[in-house]
Amino acid sequence: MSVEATLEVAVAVVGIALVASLAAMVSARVVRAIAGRRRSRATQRLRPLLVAAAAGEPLPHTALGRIERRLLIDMAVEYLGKVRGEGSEALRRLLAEQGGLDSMRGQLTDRSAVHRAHAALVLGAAGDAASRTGIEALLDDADFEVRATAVRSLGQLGDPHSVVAVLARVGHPGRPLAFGTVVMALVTIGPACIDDLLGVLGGGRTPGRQVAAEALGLLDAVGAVDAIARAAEHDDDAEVRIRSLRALGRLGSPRAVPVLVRALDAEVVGFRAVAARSLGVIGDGAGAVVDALTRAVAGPEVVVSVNAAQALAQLGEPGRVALESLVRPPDHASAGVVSPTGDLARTWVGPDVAVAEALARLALNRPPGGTS
Amino acid sequence: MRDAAAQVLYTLDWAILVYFLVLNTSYLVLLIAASREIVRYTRRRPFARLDEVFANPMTPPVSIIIPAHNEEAGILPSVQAMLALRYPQFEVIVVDDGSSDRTFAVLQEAFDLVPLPRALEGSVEIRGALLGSYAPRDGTPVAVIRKESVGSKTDALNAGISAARYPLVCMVDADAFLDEVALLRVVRPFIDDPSRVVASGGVIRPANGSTIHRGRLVEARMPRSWLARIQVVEYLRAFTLGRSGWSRFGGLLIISGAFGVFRKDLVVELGGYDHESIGEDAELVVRLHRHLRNQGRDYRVVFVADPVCWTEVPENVRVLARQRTRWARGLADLLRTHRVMIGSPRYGRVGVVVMPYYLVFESIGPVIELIGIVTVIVGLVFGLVDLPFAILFFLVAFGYGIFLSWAALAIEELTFRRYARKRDLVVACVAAVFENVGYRQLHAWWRLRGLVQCLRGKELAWGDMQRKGFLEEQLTADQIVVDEPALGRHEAERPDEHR
Repeated sequence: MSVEATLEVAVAVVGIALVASLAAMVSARVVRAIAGRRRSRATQRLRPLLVAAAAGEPLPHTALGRIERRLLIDMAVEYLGKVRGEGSEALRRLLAEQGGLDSMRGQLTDRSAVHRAHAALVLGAAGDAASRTGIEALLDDADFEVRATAVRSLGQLGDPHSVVAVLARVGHPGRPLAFGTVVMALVTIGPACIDDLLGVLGGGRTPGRQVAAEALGLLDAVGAVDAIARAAEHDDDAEVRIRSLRALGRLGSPRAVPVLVRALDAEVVGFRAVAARSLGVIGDGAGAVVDALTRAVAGPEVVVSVNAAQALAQLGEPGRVALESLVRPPDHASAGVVSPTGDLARTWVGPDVAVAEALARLALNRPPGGTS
Repeated sequence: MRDAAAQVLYTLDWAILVYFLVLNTSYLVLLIAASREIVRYTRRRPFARLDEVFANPMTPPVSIIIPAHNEEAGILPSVQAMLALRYPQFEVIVVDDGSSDRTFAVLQEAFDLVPLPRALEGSVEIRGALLGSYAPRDGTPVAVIRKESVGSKTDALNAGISAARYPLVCMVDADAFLDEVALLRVVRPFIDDPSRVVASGGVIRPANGSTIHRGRLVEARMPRSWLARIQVVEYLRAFTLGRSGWSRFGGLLIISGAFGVFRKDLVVELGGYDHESIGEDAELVVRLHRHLRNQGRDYRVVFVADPVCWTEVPENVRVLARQRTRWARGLADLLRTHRVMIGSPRYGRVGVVVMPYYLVFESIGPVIELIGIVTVIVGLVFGLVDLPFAILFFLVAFGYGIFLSWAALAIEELTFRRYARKRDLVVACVAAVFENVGYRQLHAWWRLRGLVQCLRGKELAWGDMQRKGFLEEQLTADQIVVDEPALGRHEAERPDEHR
C-alpha cells in the first residue's frame, strides 16, 4: 500500500473517531442531565416518605418504579448511617418490605463488581444477619473494592463468627484486603473478637499479626497487654513490633512500661521512636522512665531525641525538671541565624533543639510535637 | 540531485509515518487503559467511604509542605484553605524561602506567630541558611520555617521535609488549592495498602476563570484567555492519558510537584529532593523507583483520578514558553541522570517500557515532529511532495491530536464533569482544535529548546512566574453550591507528556 493510500485510510479512521468522541460528549451530557433531573424529582418525592418511615409511620401504598425503588434503597442505606434505635429498625423493616434485601442477597453473586459491592453495602448497613455467609464469600472476590465493602459490611453486621474468615484472608498474596478497613471492621465488631485476635497475634501469619496488634490497641484490650508486650519484644516482623509498641501506648497500662523502657535501647530506630512516644502517652513519671527517656534524648537519631523530649514534657513535673537539666548554654545557638549545610547538623539537628522545642511547647502549653 | 533529494524525503516520510503510527498506537493503548481505569474508579467511588477514612484512627497524619517565595498576596488564603481541608490530623509547614516581600509578616500577623525551635532531620541537605522557626501561639497546626533562598524551590522543599513530623509529606505549591476532600482521597491508598504504597498523586487543573470563594472553588469555568483554555484541555488530556493510563500499567513516572504525597521516611532515606535537578518532582519519583527496585522491595506508586489541586496557569506566551522549556529540559536531564534504567529489565516496566517511551516519544518527540513539519514544507516548496499528500498528512496528524483531546473531554463528561456549563464544553472542544493547530507546533519548539539546553549543559536561568492571581468573588449564601472541590494557582504540573 502506498503512503498516500495509507494516509487516506488514516484520515477516514480519524474522522470517524472524531465524530464518535463528539457524539460521546454530547450524549453523555444529555443523558446525565435527564437522569439528574429524574433523580432529583424522585429524591424530592421519596425523602418525606423515608423520614416518615424512620419515624415509624407505614409507607403509603405507592407504586414505585425500578429506578425509584433503587433510589429508595440507597437513601434508606444513607439514612441508616444517621439514625439510631427505633428509626434504624424502621428503616431496616422498610428495606425488607420493599424487597430490597431479597434483591440485594441475589446481587451478591452478580456478574457486575459494582452490583456485588452495592449489595454488600446495603446488606451490611441493613444489618441483615442472614447474608453473612454470602458476604463472607465476597472476601475472595476478584475486585478490591468488593472485598473492602464486604469487610466493612461484616463489621457492621457485628457477628464475631466473621472474624476468623476476615483474619484468614488478610495479606492474601493475590487478593489482599484493605488493611485499614479490616482493622476498622474488627473494631466495629468490638471486644467479641479479642480472643481471635490474640490467637492470631500469637501465631498467625505476618499481615494478620499486624492487624491484630493494631486492632487490639484500638479495642482498648487492656487484658491483652501481656500478649501485645510479648509481640512488641519478640515478634519476627518489625512492623508487628512497631504496631504493638504503639498499641501499648494506646492501652496506657503501667504493665507495659518496662517493655517500652527496654525498647528505648533497641537497635531499630523506629522501635525507640515509637516506644518514646508511647511512654509519653502513658505519662508514667517514675524515675526509671524519666532516666531512660533522658538517655534517649541524648541519642544520635533526631526522631528519637524529639519523641523522647516530647515524652518527657508529657510526664509532668519530673519530666520538666529532666528537660531543664538537659539545657546547655547556647554556645552555638539552637535558634537564630545559622550557617548553611555543614553547620546545620550541629545547630538545628540534635538533642539541644529537641529539648528546646519540648520546653518551648511546655511554656506555650502546646500539644506534643513528636514524630508519629 | 533532485531524485536523490526526493528519495531522501520519501524515506523520511515513511520513517516519520512509522514513528507517528507507533506513537499514536501507544496513545490509543493509554487512552483505552485510562478510560477503563477512570470509569472503574468512578463507578466504585460510592463505596470508597471517605467518612470511614476520616474516622479511621489509622489514617496517617500528614505534613503539608508549602514552599513560598514572595507570596505576600496569596499565602494567607492558601494556608487558610489548607487548614480548612477535611482531614483528621495534619500540619501545614510554610517554608518562607528568602522572601523579600511581606510573606512572613502576613503570616505572623494572621497567626500570631512566636518563635518555636524545631529539630530537623539531619540527613536531608539544606543549602540556604536557616533563619528561624515559628508557630502560632494558639496551637493552630502551622509551622513557618524561614530560610535564605539559594534560588531553588528544591531547597525550600527539603527544609520542609526536614521539619515535617508526620509519616506522610504532601507537597503543595504556595498558590495552589486543594479540593476539600482531596487529601482524604489521595491518602486512602496508604491506608489500604500501608506496607507497599510509597507515593500517591492527584490531578492538577487550571483554575483561571473559575469562581473562587474563601479558598474554595465554587464553580469551575473555562478561562477567558485562549492560551489558558488550551492549557485546560492539555492538562485534562495529560492527566487522563498520562497518569491514569500509566498508573493502570503500574508505570507511573511522575507525581506532580504541585500536589503529591510521599512516605516521609523514604524521602528522607533518599536525602530529599535533588538540588541539581530541574524537574525535581519527577526526579524524586524516578529515584524512588530506582532505589526500591535496587533493594528488591515490593512497592506501589499510585495515581488517584479525582483529588484535584487547582492552580493558575500562565496566560502570557513568554512565561509559558519559559515554563515549558524548563520542563522539557527537566525531563531530558532526568533521562540522562537515570539513563542506566532505560531499557533495563531490573527496573521492571518502568525500565523496559516507561522510560524508553519517555525518551523516544516525550523527550525526542519534538525533534521528530518538527522534522516532519519542515520536511513536508520543504518538499512542497521544491515540488518534491504532492500537495494532496501534504494535506492528508496534516489532516491525520491534526485530526488525531484533536481526537485525543476530545476523547479526554468525553471521558471527563462521562465521569467527573467539573465544567457544568454547556458553553464551557463547546469552548473546550474549540480549544482542542486551536491546540493542535498553532499551539502544538509552538510547544514542540519550546520543548526542542529545552532538549538543546540539556545537551549543551546550559546554566538554567530561573525566572519568576508572573501570576495574575485569583479574584475572589463575593457570593451570597445561595450562590455557594460547593460540589466538593476547593481552588488554586503557582507553578503547576507538566501536562506535556501526551501530545
